[in-house]
Amino acid sequence: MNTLNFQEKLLLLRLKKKDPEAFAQVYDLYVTPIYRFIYFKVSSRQDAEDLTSEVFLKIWQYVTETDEVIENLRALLYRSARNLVIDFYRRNAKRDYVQDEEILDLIQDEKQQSLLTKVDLEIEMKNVELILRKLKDEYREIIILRFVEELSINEIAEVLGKSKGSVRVILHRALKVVKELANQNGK
Amino acid sequence: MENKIIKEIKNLRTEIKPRSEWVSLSRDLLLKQIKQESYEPVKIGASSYLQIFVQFFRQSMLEPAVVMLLMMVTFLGSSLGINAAFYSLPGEPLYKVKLALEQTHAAMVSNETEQVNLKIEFAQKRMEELDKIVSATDLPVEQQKAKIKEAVAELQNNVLAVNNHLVKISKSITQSKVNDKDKADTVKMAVAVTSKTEELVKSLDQKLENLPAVDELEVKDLVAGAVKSVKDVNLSAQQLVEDVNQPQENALEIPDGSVKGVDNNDSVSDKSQNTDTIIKIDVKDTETEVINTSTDSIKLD
Repeated sequence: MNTLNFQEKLLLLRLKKKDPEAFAQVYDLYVTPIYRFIYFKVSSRQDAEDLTSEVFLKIWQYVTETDEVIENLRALLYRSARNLVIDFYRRNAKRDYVQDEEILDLIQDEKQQSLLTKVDLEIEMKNVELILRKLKDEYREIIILRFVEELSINEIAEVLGKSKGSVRVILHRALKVVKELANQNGK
Repeated sequence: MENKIIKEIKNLRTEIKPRSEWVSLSRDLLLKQIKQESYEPVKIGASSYLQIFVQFFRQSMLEPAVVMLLMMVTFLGSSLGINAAFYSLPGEPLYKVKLALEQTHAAMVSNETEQVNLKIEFAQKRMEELDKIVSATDLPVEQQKAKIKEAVAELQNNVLAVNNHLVKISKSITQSKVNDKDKADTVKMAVAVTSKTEELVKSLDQKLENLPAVDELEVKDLVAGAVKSVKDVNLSAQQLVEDVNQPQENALEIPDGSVKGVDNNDSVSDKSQNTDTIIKIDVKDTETEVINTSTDSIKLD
C-alpha cells in the first residue's frame, strides 16, 4: 500500500468528520502544488493566492457535505482548482462589459496594472516559463500536471475528465509545440 | 533537446512557490472560518479503518499484478496449508483439516471398491499416527493418552466405514448386481483388505503391549476395541472373497422334510440361542458337478 495514499484516505475520513486538524494537514500538504497549478493559469500572484485559498474552502465544504465516496483527494483538489480558474475567467469576462466611466477608468487602471504585473512577471520568468505561458491552456495544463506536479496519466485523466489515451495524445502534442517554441526562442 | 526542456520544466517545481507569509496567513484565516462551523468529535474506530482497507482492496483489485499475486499467494498458502495438515497429528490444530481433506477425497470417489481401498489407507494412516504418538518421549502422559484416544477413535471410524462398504458390496454380489470384471476387482480388493487388516491387527497388538506409561484401562480397552473391529473387517473381507467365488445358491428341501447339509438335531439351528448361522447347502448344478460343499456356523457371544 502507498503510504501517501493511505495517509490521504485517513485524512479524507477525518475531513468528513469535520476535523480541523485534518484540514490543516491537507492544507500543508497541498497548498504549494495547488498554488503552482493555479499560478500558471492566471496572470498574477495575487489572483493565484486568492484562488488557492478558495480551493481549500470549497474542498472543505464539499467533503463535509457530500455522501459520495472520494477515491482520490489530490485529483479532487486539482479538479476544484481548475473549475475555480474557469469561473474566475468567466467572472472577469463579464466585468469587461461594464460601461460606466468611472468604472471604465478603474478598469483601464486595472488593465494597466494587469499589464504591468504581466511585464513584471515576464521579467521574473525564465525562458521555459514564458514558453509555457504561450501554450494554449489545454497543453499548458497537461505539461504542468505531468512534469511539475508529477501526476500519473491516470490522475491527470481524472482531473481533466478525459480518457488516458486522450491525455497521452495531448501530452505528446503539447511537448511537440513546446519543442517548436523552444527552437524559435533559441533562434 | 526534449529531455533538456522537460528537465527545465521539472525545475519549476522548486522555483515556483507561494509566499511563506501568505501561506501561514491564509492557513490561519481558513482555520478560523471552518472552526466557526460546529463539528462532531472525531472517532476513528475499527469500522473506519475497515472502510479504508475495503477501498484500498477494491482499488487494488483492478491492478492485474495484484490479482496475479493474490492468486499465487492463495495457491501457495493452500498448498502449504495442505502440506502442513498432511503431517499433523491428533490434538494439533490442522488435524481436523487433514480429516476434512480425507473426507473430501472419499466423497469424490463413487466406486464402492475404491472407497474400501481408500478407507483402508486412511486406517493405515491412523496407525502411523498412533506409532508416532506412542513413540513420542517428550509428551506429558495425559496429553499422550488424549492423542492415543483420538487416533484410535478415528481408526475405529475408518475401519467401521470399510466394513459398511464390504457389507454393501457383499449384498450387491448376492443380488447378482455386479458383472464379472467388478467381481474380479472386488476379489482383489478383498484380498488386499484381508492382508492389510492382518497387519493392522498385529500392529495394534504390539501397541497394546508397548503402552507402559499409558496403562489406564480405558485406553487399553479402546485399543482392544479397535483390534476387534479390524478383525471383524478381516473376516468380512474373507467372507466377501468366498461370496464372489461361490455360484448363486438355493436352499433345496429334501422329501423327508429336512434340509440337506444341516444337522436337524443340532442346537445350532435353535433360534432361541443368540447365534448367527450361515448355512450353505449342496446344490446340484445341472451343467457342472457340485463345486463346494460347506456348512459354516459362526457363534457370536
